[in-house]
Amino acid sequence: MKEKLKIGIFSFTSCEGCELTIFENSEEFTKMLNYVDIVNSRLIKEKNPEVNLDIAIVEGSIMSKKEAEELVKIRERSKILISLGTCAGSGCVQALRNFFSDRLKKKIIKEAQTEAFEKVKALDEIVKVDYYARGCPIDADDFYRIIKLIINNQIPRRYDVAVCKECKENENSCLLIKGIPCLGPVAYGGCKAICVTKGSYCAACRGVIRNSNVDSLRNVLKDRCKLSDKEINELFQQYNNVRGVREIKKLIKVKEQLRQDLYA
Amino acid sequence: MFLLKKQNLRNFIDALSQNEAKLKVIVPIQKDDGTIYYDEYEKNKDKEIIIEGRTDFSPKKYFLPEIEEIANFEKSENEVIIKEVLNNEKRIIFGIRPCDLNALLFLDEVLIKYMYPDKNYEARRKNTILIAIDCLEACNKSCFCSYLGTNIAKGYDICLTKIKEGFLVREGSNIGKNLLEKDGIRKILEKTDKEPKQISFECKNKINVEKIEELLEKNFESKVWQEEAERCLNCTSCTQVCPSCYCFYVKDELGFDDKKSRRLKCLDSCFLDRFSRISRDFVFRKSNKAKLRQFVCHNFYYSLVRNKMIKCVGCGRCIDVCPVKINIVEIIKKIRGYDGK
Amino acid sequence: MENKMLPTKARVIEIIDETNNIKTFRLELIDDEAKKKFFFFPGKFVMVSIFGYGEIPLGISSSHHEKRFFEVSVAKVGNTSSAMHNLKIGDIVGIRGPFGRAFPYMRMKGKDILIVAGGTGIAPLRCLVNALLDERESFGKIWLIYGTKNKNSFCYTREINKWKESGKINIVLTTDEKCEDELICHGLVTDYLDKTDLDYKKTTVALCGPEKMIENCAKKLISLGVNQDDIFVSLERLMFCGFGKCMHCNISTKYACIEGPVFTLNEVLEMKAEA
Repeated sequence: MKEKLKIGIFSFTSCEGCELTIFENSEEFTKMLNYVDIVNSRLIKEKNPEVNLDIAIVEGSIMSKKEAEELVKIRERSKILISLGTCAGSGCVQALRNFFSDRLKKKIIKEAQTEAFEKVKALDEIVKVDYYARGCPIDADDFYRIIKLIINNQIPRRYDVAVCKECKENENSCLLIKGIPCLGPVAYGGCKAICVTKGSYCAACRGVIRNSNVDSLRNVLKDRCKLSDKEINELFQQYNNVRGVREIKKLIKVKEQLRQDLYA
Repeated sequence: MFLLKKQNLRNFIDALSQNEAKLKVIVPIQKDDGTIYYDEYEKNKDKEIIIEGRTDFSPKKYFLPEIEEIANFEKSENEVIIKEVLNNEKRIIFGIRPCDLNALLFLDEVLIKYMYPDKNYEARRKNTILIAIDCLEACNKSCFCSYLGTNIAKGYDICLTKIKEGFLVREGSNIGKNLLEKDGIRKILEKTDKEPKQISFECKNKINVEKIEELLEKNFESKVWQEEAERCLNCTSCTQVCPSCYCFYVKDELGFDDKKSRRLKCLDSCFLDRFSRISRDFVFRKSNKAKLRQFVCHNFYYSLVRNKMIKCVGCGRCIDVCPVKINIVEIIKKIRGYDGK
Repeated sequence: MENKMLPTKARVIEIIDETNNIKTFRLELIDDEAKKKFFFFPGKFVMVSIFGYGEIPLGISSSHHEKRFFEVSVAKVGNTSSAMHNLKIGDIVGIRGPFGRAFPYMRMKGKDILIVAGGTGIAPLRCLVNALLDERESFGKIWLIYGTKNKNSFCYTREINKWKESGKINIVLTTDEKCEDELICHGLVTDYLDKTDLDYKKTTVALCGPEKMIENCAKKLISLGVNQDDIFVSLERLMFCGFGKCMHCNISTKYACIEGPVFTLNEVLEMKAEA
């Protein structure tokens, strides 16, 4: 039997829902425990020693200097770092404050008990992230697929297929055609299109696909859903705050090596 | 020829589902959000069975499911056990429309008759009984089946034609004949000498497919492709709803170790980068233009040259489902307009 | 009819390190029935399954005159090929095939032959060279021009030396980077196409390598007067089935798994450029 891999799960600013999702799928989780040792986890471990790790799974966005320093330490003692969930990947809702007015921002920073950053940051703005498990919250099956591949020394590839594919698999009718705003066509899939299937819309919580046709979708949102530019921006901002909408356009044109988010 | 009275339609389906072979009956029904799709009758007994118009989703999923296990492997010290997996579930699909029937005939041609058969598709196809419903008029403004000859039901086991009193029932194969002679079913039907009318209607969405392979070959570099593809979102909706899109990829799924693994055949879409990606991440068909051209040319050109059949059955689903209004009929029209210029 | 999507088992009987990221695997089919049926010509490919890690199309690189075993060479690039590099002698892999169209081996008899390989493109051509040398007297002059990035990325070096010693074949080795070795020329393979003593009008050419190299070589060869029908090109495409179902290897009306991977230059030129 191979030696068990040491895994640490860490949380920064987030609801810790993603971490819960990992444990929630108890069947896969118990199976996984035959192959890995969970060394660090605030939720399920009493003692959390600082040891070298094979895989660090980090959720949450980085709000303050203290958190950033901690993250750097985690990176230094782990071989692979997986960003877990939207908070870690692109900031999620707490990063809406990146768009607040300067006066409000100053007030927040002043009232914060720690040394808060002016902007909420995603993990990859501070350290190198190897793989991304996306979603708010993550999809457990998706996460375990990534872990299984890593345990078997495989590289999880980025899954750049739009949510629409899985949405049509679930036999939903298209929201955009009905005039309901939806970001499915440019959002990373892998979530089984759960939001649309259950009656909501897609807000691209898994991020906007690199090289996807955002301009064309903006036109659709304008024509079919009668949204103004500002409303479209807000829609994009909901989960992809760190880079903002203006930057999303730039982001998708950024050279590949800048955001090497290999991900299955 | 038999007559099935209007009020007996449900009894007919009940009788089908209660036969001794334990077949699952699949019927077209409507979701709460208005989508018409196919599902098991057992689970949706209270829902209305939709017999008119086109369904939003074809019953393709029963023949080419999104993900299908085709084999599994068990590794031990010095041996590997390879197990073939075939789906042998028996089904009756009730209410399949002529366009989807014709799509199945195309898939038979490509996946069974051409070179070696795709065993997984063949098994599903063999185990399914098809009960068709004739279309008597064009169902909506986007379908164009009448110009492709796919508005006529072919390859069914039993076919129903709507008339005033109910449905005329005729058999199309021995399986269908035997099924109609079963006790529970036979007593619902009445013998009649009425004949269904010849089906002849014209769709509103006109398409000219005369010498279409030559047209597309000649206009392979037409500027129409770029004009139309510019707004494509690569959302893959069109290939997902297409009843005759069959492209697939194969992947292996690992467990936490490699002792047990499964080989999966999954539907792919030509609108994705991964469709033409080879080693070292080189993508052959990267631009939207090339992807759209592949889709249209496969439908009207490649399939005609290779399999002597047009892949497209004119159901118009890809037109209705496209959020950016890319219209396959308009593209052909536009190319004809630009032809030679 | 049997299920063509189902692999048959083969055992790894030898692993040879060619370069730091290319290995050659010698495989023997376990099932005798399958072994009897396994028949190929140079240029055909097999689908190799590494159970649990996926399946990849690989050109057969040993001569078709060898009946006991066959060889495939693979560079460590993606997940499946990395998993393949972790195999040990005695491990079992899955084989489907052989599929595809081969180099027109029979038609080459009596003709002069020029073989041009770039990088890992040598693999299917090694099969051809070995087959040609097995029946050396049936062919005219044979030239091999083989180019790689640098000195260390030459495959089959031992075998190439053996070929050289036998004197049955003229070999030109080139590298993109300058290297000290006297026996290795500097430059691209295209620079050496006209440096042979072949009568180009009567020569059959077999090409395999990066798309760019093929393009440039084809241009040069045509200008040298080689008949377009006598230039054979082996192309690389994504494949999942091997017998015309999955559509991934579709190039205009052709399928690389049925009409290819070996195409004549005429066919390649007829294919519309896709990008």
